Amino acid sequence: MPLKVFYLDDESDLCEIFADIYGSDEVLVETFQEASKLIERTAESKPDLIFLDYRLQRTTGDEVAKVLDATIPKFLVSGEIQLKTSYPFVEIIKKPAPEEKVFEILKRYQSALK
Amino acid sequence: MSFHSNVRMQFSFWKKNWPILYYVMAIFNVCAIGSSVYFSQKHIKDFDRALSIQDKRAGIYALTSELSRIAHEVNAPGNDLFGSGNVMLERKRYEVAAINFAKKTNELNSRVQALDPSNPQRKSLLSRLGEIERRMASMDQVSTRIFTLYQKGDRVRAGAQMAEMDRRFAFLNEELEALKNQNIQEVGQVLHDYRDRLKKTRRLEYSITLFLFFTGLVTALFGRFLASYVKEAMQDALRNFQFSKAVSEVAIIAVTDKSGIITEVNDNFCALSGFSRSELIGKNYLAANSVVYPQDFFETVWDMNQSKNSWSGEIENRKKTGERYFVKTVVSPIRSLDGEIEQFVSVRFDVTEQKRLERDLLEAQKISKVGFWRYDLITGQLEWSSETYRIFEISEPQDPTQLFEQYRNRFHPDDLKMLDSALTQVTVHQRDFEFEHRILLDSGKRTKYVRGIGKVARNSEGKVVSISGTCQDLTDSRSFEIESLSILKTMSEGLVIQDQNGEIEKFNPEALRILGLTEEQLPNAFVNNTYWKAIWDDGSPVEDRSHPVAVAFRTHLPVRNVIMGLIHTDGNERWINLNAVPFDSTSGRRVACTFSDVTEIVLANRELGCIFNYSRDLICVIGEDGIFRKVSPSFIKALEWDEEELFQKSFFDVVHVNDQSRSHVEFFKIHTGRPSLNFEIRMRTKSDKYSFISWSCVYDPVSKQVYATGRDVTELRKSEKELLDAQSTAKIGSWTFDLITGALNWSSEHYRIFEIDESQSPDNLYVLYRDRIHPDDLDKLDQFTKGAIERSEDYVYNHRVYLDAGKRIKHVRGIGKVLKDENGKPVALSGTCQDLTDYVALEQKNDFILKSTGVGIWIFNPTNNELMWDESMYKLFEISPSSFSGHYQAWESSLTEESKNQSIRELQLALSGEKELNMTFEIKTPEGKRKYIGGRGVVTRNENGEPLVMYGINWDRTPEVTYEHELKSALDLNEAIRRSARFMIITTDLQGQITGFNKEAERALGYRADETVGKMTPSIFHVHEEIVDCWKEVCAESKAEISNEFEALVFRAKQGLYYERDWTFVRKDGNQFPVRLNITGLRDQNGMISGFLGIGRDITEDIALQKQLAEERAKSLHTAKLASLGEMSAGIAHEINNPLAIITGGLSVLTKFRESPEKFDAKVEMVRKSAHRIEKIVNGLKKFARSSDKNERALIAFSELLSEVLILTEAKSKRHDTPIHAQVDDGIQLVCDVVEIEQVLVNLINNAIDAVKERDERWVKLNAFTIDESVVIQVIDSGKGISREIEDKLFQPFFTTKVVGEGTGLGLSIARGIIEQHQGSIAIKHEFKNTCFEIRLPIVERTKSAA
Repeated sequence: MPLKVFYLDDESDLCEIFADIYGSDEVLVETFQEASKLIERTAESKPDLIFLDYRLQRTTGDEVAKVLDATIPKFLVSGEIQLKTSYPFVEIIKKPAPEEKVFEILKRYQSALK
Repeated sequence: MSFHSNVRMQFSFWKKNWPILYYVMAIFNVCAIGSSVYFSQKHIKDFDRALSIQDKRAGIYALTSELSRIAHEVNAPGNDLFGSGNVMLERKRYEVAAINFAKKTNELNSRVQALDPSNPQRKSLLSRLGEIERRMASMDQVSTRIFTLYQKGDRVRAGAQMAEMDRRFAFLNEELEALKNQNIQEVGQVLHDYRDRLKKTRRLEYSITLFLFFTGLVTALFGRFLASYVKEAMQDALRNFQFSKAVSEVAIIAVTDKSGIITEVNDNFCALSGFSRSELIGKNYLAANSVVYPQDFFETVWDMNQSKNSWSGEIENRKKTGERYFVKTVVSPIRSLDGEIEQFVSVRFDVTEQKRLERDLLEAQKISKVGFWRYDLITGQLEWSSETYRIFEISEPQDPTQLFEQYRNRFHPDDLKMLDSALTQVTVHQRDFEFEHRILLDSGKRTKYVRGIGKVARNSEGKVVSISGTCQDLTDSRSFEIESLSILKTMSEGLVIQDQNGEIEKFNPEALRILGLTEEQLPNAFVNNTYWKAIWDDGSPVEDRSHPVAVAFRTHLPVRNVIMGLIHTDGNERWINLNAVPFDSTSGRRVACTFSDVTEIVLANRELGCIFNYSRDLICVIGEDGIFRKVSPSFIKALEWDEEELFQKSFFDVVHVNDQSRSHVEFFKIHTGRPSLNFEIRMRTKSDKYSFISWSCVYDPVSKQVYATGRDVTELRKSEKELLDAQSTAKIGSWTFDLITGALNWSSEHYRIFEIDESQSPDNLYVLYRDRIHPDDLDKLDQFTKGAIERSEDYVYNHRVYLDAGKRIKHVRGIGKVLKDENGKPVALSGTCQDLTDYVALEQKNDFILKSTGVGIWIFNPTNNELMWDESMYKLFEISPSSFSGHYQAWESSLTEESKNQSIRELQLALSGEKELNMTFEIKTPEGKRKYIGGRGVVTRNENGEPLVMYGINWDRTPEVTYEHELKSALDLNEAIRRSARFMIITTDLQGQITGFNKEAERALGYRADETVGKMTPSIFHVHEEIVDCWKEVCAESKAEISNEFEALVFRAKQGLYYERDWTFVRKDGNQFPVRLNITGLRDQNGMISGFLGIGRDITEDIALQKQLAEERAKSLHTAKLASLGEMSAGIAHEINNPLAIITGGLSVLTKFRESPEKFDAKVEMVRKSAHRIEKIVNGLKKFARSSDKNERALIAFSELLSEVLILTEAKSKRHDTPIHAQVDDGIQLVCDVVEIEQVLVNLINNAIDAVKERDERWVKLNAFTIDESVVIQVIDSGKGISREIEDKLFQPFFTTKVVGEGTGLGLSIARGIIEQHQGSIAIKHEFKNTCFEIRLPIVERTKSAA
């Protein structure tokens, strides 16, 4: 089964690039620029992984994470220098996220999925 | 001589001469004693020797005993060892004992060595000692073995050695005992020997002594017996020979044959007669020498042939030289055994001298009136010399048996007792006598004084056999004495006869009286100045050496007329006039002192001297020639001449020319015997002034001198004149009315007051007086007059006097006093009248003035503390008359606490006369109002200076005191400012001369005030170039001609403008420092500028502070910037990381879209945009973060500045979803520090976003527009505004409304600082319902300039 990955970032370019880099047959990437849409979609179709940007319009990534399904592994991606979050993300990745890092995460979950 | 008679003779000899026996016995006993002493000494020596030996031996014995004891000690440790078991201890004990033993042995050895080497025992003793030492040594060896064996534990062998030790100890002990015994034996032997010798010696001694004693006795008793025979014969022969020899030596001997032919003469015969032996021998005795032979010579001599044995008598002879001499001659026949005269021997003694002495004695007796007498107690015969007869005026020769009776009969009856007493003295007591007595002659008509002296003559038995003596006629000397005594007793002077020791031998009663002593006290009174102290007239003590008596003794010259004071121990003072005359008496040198009591004279002179010297009156003595002989100090002082000058002048030389004739008249008068009293003349002083002197003079015909006393009445005369003048000035006249005679006398002033001519008859005077009295006042006059006459009441009568028919009125005060006689009856009235017209007018005027000025008058009586006020005083103190106590307390209680003490003190000082009353005091009125009252007062006093009444005035000084206080406060403040100000305060006059230079100016500029004031202008403190610049500015501003630097400095001040400027001042040492100087003009009371005031402050610190402040601000600004940056950093990081992620992501997928050019280009564009995005942000940050200390202000379009700001705030804006809307007018340009203004705007926008981020409505607006010449920038947020309470603090550093950790709060204070530095302002505008910060910045920068 392909890995379903959701990506939330208010920067459209970053959503596009994420999808371009990591989207494939094995990794199904869906990008969102609005938190509400992510939440709806997650409810509809539970992804395997969620990558959330921290600095969003009107909210932050960890706020979004709190309302999502807790079983879904979540990763926080941010360009902030200092970041404080109370949510137990699997990992916090600094922007620009190293591709190898993200690939490794995807691969891991792919394996797990298998 | 027969044996028996010899024995009898011996016996009788010894019976008479038994003391001789004692002498002989004594001699022999002395010998016996000597012998005994000799033998005793011998015994003592012998004994000492024995004792010495014994001592030595005893010493040896003692030592030997000691050795025995120590030997036991030596043996003991060994024994004790088996008991104690302590080897070391016992060994130590042994060693100590052994050492002691050795010491004692040595000592003993020394003693034995010291014995006499001839002593046979010495050798054996030494030998024994040697043995003892050897045995001790052997014991020592054994003891050593014992200790060693014991130590080794071999007690058996040690015990065996102990036994050996004991055995050897016993040997040692034996030897010691033997030594002791030997010693004892020898000592005993010595004593035995001594005893034996003593026995022998004693026997010998006794024998010798007894032998000497008995030998002496026998010799004494019988020796003489045997020798007397021989001796007698020899004695006779010797006696005869010696007798002849002795006689021959003293007598004049001639031997004649029986016919009288000289056959032998001795030397004395030749010597006395002058004839040689050859001339005499063979000559007839009678013819050879004698001149006068007594009648019986021949008879006797020839008779000697018959029956008489010898003839004796006095013969007068003649020497060969013809000189006569007398001899007492005895001519004796020398008969043979058958009785025939063979020779005559003439024995003569030269009695020439004796004869002469007899003659002289008789003559002396006659001259000295001393007679000789002799009374033979046995025969009862009384012999008198001629003089004695003459003294007693009894004819000689008298029957000696009657003589005594006649002698006794002449005795004065009162003196017979003395005669009897003398006889008793002689007969009973057998003593000499001497007494003076009187004899009466011519039936008692004459009296003689006789001194009788009797000396007893004793026989060989000591019994008085005769009395001989003298009697001396003392009549002449006694008479002299009596006369002298009478003179002494009656003389008015004291007389003492004093010896060199100071003792008084004789004195007269007057001496006792004058000296105040008794007879017992006087003799030694001068010794040690027992009773008094002698002083000179100047009070100094009389030294012993300078005492007149001492001087007389020393110089042998009389000292006369010495005035000397005697201060008795009881304090009495006596003065004497002393004469001391030395003379030599039989008992040595004496001084006769006569002295008279001059105490009264001296005291009188002293008093007179005091009067003369201290009297204020002028006293002088004038000779007949008118020349001054003596002048008193007052005279000298009054007339200013000195004594020497006056003695050259006559009295008339110093008299005023106009008084000369009067003076002469007075002098003439006194010469007639009448004293001249109180004639007043003027005397010329040395300084040519004239004094009025009132003289009283008297002439003394004895001394022919005039004695004058004068009193300087110059002042009196002056006072009289002044009194008259004063009366005239004071308009006081005097009057007297004699109640008995009815005479009325007025003074000139009295006439003048009543305007009555002085020529008016006194009889009409009273009528004229009454006519002038105001009718209404006449009754009072009569009452007072009646009261004075009838009741002796004094009065004071104020009345009016009508003059010029009533056209003029005078006010007169009449005072009348009643004069009474000795019975108290009024006899006269006397008084004054004073014209008070002017005074009354003055009083009325004063009263008016006082009433209108509000000055109050008070009178205070310090005696009873009464206080009187006039109406004005009540008003002044705001007290009603009814509530005024009339007592000093009323004033004191009105005083405030602050002024009470000082006011009371001032009053007391005025009353005591120490100062006038002139004070200001504060009172509190009954309503509580405080007032300042001025007070002055004068005190009237009595003759003792005690205050009677105090008069004074008070007035209200409240306004002026208040003004004074205010003025003082202002002055104090001014002075305080001057002194304490940390500003240089320099004042100048119009010309620029410094007139004031305060302490701070001195300190800051280094000049002293005295160096600058009046000497410099302030220009000297300035840098010349700055003044020139100022000058140029002023000239440019005012277009006026400025003549000098100072004018330039003060130009604006002169215009009345405020002029403050920073200058560089130059100190005295050349150092420069910045000063902010403010110059203003000083104005006088007319408002004209009279000078200038420069107040400068050293701003060196200010500048430094400002610099520091700017640095701090810059730092703060930079810190704020960094804080802002930090605040923005999170957002900025995000804003950079996102595009960076786009870039990295984009680049990584480019390869993926290589085949698709559109997507490829799109990705490339995405990357480029993101890169540009990053560039902008970084540039903005760089600019923002750049330090502003190098920033320059530049003209910038506001829109450009704003775009930079928006870049920096975009991230935050997005993050908080707080859009920023900007509305900016076109063309707004600013000259500013772009970075700083950006910082301000960034801070304001960030703050706005933070303020509204939690709100539902979130936005920030930024408006920018221009108004006038300012750019207005408003930053408005959607917040509800800022409260005024916070607004004030908002711009304070570190104030923040943000939560902790959010922002540092630096922003707005920095922002304000930046805006203000741009001459702009930042404030909150409350007109908006939202929060609006408004910044106003000038479009054109205003420069600093003088206003």
